[in-house]
Amino acid sequence: MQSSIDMLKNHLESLRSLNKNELKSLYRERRKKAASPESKGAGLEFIEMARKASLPIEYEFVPMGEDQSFFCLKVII
Amino acid sequence: MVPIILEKTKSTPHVLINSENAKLEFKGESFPENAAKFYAPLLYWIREYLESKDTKIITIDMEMTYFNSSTSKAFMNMLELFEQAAQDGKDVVVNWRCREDNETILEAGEEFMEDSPSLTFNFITYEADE
Repeated sequence: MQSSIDMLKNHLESLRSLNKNELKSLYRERRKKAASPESKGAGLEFIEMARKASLPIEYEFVPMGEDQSFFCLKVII
Repeated sequence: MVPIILEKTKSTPHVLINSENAKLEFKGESFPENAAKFYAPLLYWIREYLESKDTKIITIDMEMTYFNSSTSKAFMNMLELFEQAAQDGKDVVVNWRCREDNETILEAGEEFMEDSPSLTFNFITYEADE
């Protein structure tokens, strides 16, 4: 469980550090790559949200007991 | 090859792929639960078609109002097949149609154009109440 939170955190943190042009490049680069087999989507959804946002995205993981967390994402368009 | 005709649904577009006149049409919205799964047979058909048929000019009409990011990836995969065909000498024309105020779709089309240098893109916008 912890590792999937860490993976998501790392992904979101890296998106927070990129500007609009860098996000666009990342989106186009990732779109050409094969999606990871365990994912139903294209792995582009957070990049797309970050691109559409007018401010850096914000997030929080609120621990809910031992093996669960509540995930909050704030995207201002 | 037998043409593919799919009626649009709440989350998938109207699709028409006709080898007779080398025309493809995608119209509507696309946000299926699993876009890769929905588009896989279409990509397979296109691959077969590009290998078998000696068509010179291929026209792709895209009139999408909304699509999600995994559909965007499926479209990219499809355009890559056509990009390869265009590099091999075919003429592939993409008519990208959308409402003039649909900036998201317009920008998406421009990005597909940037990633598909050998395809000819025409952007056709229409007024909102058309």
